[in-house]
Amino acid sequence: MTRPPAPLRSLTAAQRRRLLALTLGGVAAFFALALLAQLRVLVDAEWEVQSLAQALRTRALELPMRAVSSLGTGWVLGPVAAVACLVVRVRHAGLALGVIAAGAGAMAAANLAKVLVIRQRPNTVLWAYPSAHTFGIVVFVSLLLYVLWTLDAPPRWRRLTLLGGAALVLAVGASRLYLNAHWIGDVLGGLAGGLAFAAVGVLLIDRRLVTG
Amino acid sequence: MAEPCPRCSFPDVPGDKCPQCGVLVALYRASLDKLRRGPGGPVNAPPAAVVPPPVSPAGPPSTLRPSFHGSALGLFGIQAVNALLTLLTAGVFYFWAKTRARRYLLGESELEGDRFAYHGTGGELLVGFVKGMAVFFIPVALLTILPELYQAPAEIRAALRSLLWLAGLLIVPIAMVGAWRYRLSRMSWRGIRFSFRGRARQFVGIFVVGTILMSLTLGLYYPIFVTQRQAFMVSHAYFGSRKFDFDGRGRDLMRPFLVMVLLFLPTLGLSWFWFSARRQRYFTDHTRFGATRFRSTVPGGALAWVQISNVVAIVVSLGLLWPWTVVRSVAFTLRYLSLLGPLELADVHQDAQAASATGEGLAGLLDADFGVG
Repeated sequence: MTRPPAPLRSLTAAQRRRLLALTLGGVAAFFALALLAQLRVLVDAEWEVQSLAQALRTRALELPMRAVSSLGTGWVLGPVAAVACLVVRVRHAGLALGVIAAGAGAMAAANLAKVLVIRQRPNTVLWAYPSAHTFGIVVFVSLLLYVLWTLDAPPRWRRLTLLGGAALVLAVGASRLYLNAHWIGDVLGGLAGGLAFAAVGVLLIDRRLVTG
Repeated sequence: MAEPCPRCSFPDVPGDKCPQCGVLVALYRASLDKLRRGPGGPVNAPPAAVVPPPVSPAGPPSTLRPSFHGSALGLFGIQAVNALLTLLTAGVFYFWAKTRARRYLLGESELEGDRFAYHGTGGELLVGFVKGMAVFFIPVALLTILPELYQAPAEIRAALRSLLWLAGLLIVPIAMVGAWRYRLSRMSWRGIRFSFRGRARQFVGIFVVGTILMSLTLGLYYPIFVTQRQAFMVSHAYFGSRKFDFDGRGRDLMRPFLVMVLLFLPTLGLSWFWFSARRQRYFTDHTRFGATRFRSTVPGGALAWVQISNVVAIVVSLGLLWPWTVVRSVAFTLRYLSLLGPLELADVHQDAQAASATGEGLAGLLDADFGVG
């Protein structure tokens, strides 16, 4: 006998409006940063931040920073998300599928977005904007928070996830600067784009699974 | 000897770590060098001499190979966005599209662990195009339309046609030099710009004389003409403060050229590819940058295959495979290119030259590429 899917919390009209505003704001910020990057408006400020980040480099931090940075890659996020979705599937198979689709879409979107701005990184390699690591980790943390909220997980878990997730996003973004792989504008672009994408994902999942 | 800390200027750093600010001196300096050399550094960053690679004094001469990291998929994505935006802007985005493709191709080309960078902008190309139109096409249009409107006598029309031909003969080399000057001025490697310092007037002389002699000799002057063009374009090119040199002579290509002409019909034109490869090898092998000599080993058969299959691919795919052919051509050229001898860059410093995009606009209008091998 199959277990009936767990009931999901649905977004209120006010929450939907807030998420829509977040999406629009994120998209606007993403394209504004892309334009500024293309026009090299922020280059002096970015260079200052990058110099500062490089001044903090020590041998002891190299390996930990690489490890933190790898948390934003598909190699780590993919399997972790897959395992998380297997757990969620026990409660609600549709939600698990929705989250998988959103995650896969995020990875594709982050890489496709790089075609918009052809920019070199501080280490001269192409495809700087946006930081796909930051984009990926933001979407992952946001979707995780949504899953916990919609499955009505205890508030303590949600608070812990929010704090841990925010720390993780900051750490991954900082590691990209530290490793000379991105400018600060790229990391902020990844943050804005990731938030916008996650908000759209949550709105779509909510409409399809909860509101009907 | 102890050095001051590059971050906090602590006077005598005893070891690797600064006792005052705790920074690892070597790592910090290397990161700053990389930043400064990289394409994203601010314009007012201190002009750094390029850090030379370590050269072993007794070892054999080093060989450097440039590499290309681009993919057809990457360029296809860029072209898809370009096509969409060009359509949406009724063609205005074309200039930005051109810049984006160049930025991609140079940004994926690497030498000694550092990528090249392209700094040109679509706005510059647009302005260059407008100026090119004003300089060339408006007078040409007036000279062709006005005689028709006023039904000028046949002799006057013939005289105006000759005048137009002469104007074209003068403007094509000016456009070629302008385009080359613009493109080099917008290229950099390790933050150091390339430049071109040749005078257009000198090239006009080479071009006009070469074109006339080509006509008089039924094309036999071609090897000497192209070598003179190459010599001019290369020997006036600079990387930072140091110039490139070219020591090729046109007569060295005369025999391969005559062989190509003799075999042209029997080989149904294929002999041209072998001559083309020979010319490319010759031009590359006679190019120097300080103590570094360039070398190309491009074989005729492979060149023929790449160029013919590229044309077939573009025709069969109705242009969709264009990104694949471009990426393939660049990768092909770099695969057979190497730099022999030590790349001495310690005394190379930033010495950028101003250049407008008018020549580039004219070259675009006339489809006059400079064909520097």
